[in-house]
Amino acid sequence: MKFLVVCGHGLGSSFMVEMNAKQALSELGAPDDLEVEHSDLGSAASDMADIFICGRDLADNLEGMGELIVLDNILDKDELKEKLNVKLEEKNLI
Amino acid sequence: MLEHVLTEEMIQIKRQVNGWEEAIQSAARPLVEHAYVTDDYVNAMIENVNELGPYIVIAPEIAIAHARPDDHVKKIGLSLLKLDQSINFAENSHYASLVFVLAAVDEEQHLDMLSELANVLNDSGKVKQLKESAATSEILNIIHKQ
Repeated sequence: MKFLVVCGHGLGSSFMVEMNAKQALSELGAPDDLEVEHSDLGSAASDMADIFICGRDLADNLEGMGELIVLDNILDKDELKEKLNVKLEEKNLI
Repeated sequence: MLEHVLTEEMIQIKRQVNGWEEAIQSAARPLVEHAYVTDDYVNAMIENVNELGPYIVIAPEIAIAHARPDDHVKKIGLSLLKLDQSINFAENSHYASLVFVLAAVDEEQHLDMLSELANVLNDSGKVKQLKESAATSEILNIIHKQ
């Protein structure tokens, strides 16, 4: 399963969230084969990942792309971890 | 890498600005003056916010303005404007008092620097200290102290 973190240009914030997501997944004991990558809004396509992660401002733009995790504060590691936890439990991955 | 890019001449403190456009222009000034980016890059950053909304406010009080890497960026740069009075980037409350400007030359080379910056900005204690800083040397110490 693959996560794609999306931000406006794929240069800054999506990369920061990618780092935080990788750390959170490992802390949550997620399987090793989960992938996390980052991209910009313009290149993101529905076949690029199973679950898309973005900030609230871009949520409307990613609607219909696939499953979404929407963050209120994209630098908040606790929020990210909590939402990843819910998603992983939903998928019976942890 | 961060300490070689975000040097003291790239850091400014201002009491306040009139609007988020001025915040971006002002924050980018050291990068323009030292020929890291051209004025067109500054305009592109402002245009991005107009088009995509205030997504550059990545966390409460923190904005990272940037645009696509292209001819308007001469080398990798990062500047910071610290505002005593935070500025709203949108009608629905996207306040920032730490306005960073990122200049990237491609999609890879600045990532080490950003991961170092993320380590600082993920630390709420350090963010609070940055907001309360009164001197650029103080800001420099907080960011580069490991």
